[in-house]
Amino acid sequence: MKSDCSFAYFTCFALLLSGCRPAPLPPPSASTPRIISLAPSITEIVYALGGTNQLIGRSSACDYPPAAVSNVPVIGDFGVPSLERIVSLRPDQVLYTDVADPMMDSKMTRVGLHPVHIACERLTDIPPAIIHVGQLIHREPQAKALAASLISQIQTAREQATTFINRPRILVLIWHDPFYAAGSKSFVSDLIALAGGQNIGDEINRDYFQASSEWVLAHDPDIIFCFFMASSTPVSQTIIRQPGWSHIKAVRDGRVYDGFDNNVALRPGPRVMQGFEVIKNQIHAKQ
Amino acid sequence: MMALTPFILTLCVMMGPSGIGMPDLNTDREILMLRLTRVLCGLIIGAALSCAGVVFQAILRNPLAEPYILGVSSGAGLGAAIAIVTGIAAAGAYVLPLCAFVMAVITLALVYALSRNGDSPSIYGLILSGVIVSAVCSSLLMFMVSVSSIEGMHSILWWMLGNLEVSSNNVLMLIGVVVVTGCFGLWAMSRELNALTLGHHMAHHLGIQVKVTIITALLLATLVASAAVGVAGLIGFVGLIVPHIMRNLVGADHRRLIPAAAIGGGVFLAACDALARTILAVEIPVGVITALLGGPFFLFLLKRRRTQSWLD
Repeated sequence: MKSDCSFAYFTCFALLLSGCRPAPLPPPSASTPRIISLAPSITEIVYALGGTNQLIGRSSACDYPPAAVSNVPVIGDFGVPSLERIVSLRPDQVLYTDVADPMMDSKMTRVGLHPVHIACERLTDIPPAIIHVGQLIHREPQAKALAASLISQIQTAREQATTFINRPRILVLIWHDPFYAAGSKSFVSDLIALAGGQNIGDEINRDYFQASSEWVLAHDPDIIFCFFMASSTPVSQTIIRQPGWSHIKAVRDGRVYDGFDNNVALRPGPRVMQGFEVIKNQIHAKQ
Repeated sequence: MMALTPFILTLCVMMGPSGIGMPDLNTDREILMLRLTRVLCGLIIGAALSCAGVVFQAILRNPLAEPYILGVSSGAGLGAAIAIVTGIAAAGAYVLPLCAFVMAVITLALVYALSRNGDSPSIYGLILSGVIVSAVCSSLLMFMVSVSSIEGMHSILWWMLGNLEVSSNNVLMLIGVVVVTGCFGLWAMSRELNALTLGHHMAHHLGIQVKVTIITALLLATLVASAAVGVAGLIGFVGLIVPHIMRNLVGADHRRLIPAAAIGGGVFLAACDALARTILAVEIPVGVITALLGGPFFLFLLKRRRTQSWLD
């Protein structure tokens, strides 16, 4: 058990060194730094590390867990924070993953804030991101434990994935008008691979891309995952009614799945394994 | 009208998403500085766009002319998109404004080169080649949007909606110098511009060097507009409506019109920006407010003048 643990620490450290982009640490300011999170995944990490009392601001998309974050002031929408609201809360650090304004980092620095970019986009980014956040909010032991447990869970899943003989070919759609599919650079592509499936969008070297009907028909996926909300009709019905799509294997076999909790399945945060389990169960539902 | 300026600017500083009221100098110094820079940026960008608008309308003798008509906006948009998609925009506070500015200037050079008809550029040639170059730049921009990642798309769209937050004080200062110099330069050309509004031949007979004047004024106006677009993205309507409103108020003499447009455009944009950041919890693109406020106000002035002339 002890050796397992140290292996996990080692992997974690290796991931931290190799897995994601380097981000310099800002000078530690207070013993419990007051932070603002601009991304739901970071907010979830902060919560998982027990640091919600240090969270003094969040984006409107940071919705989990509702009881813990609903009283935290909102500083803007995801990707478009209000600089003035951030300044008015006087945080020690501002943690962000992705913002619309490419110059937001310089803008925050200009007004005396300490922005920190947390790389948290892919599956392998999550454990180093947890460690990074843990260092920033001075909760390193909790962060190391959480990262280690996550790494071992991922490792177990990865070993299990090699045992599946059948690797269904999967199309992941995140939007229906037009059809947007997940490519090789998307987070959900990592989850599909880990669950023993093949994302047919992996041949496109992008995060998400517009997929034509012809492309989908030519690839004839075994399973279609729909990660989008439809307005009135059930999502899978939208897919089935597409002209020509009735010939696709997934539609013929009735393997068009919807109703996922996108906040779990598409958010690279500490709840990743929950989303992974749902995806895995769907993939291997009918063998 | 001018007496209202300090009052409106004070109101602008008092408005913001963190609360309405004058920020406390002792505790909220940063917020005050943030709002002051935004108001200053609004003044500079608004002055740039409306002065450029005045000059474009005078030279092209077209009431629908605006600073973006010769493709400056599409060129700048393409420059910004290139900076965002290649990732160099994140390298520093100067990169994105510089890319947008440089592409805008290149676009103007292209438009000018295409419109030359023998010796002097023809007005129709300028407008037509402006439309064509602008369309080509727009489709290149659309192409870049279609192949960029979701985040890149988000960033390009965000830039195109326009924003008055500056990335560094130096950028603001640099833009301020360019815009103020450019506007004074255009003001110094007032007499020539007045003559040009009578037509090229008339201006020539009045002793104006038509070609030199057009080139200089166009270059200055585009330089000023490109600087504005580079920093603030695409903010529509200011450069179209404010010149008309000011011409209505102070007359068509450029010696009075240019300074009036500079002040009017600046105050108008600063006020619109104050509303944009205060009205809703999420900031509204300032271009939406300029169009929503400017359009009806312009129609009101137009109708009032028409009624008066009827009475006359």
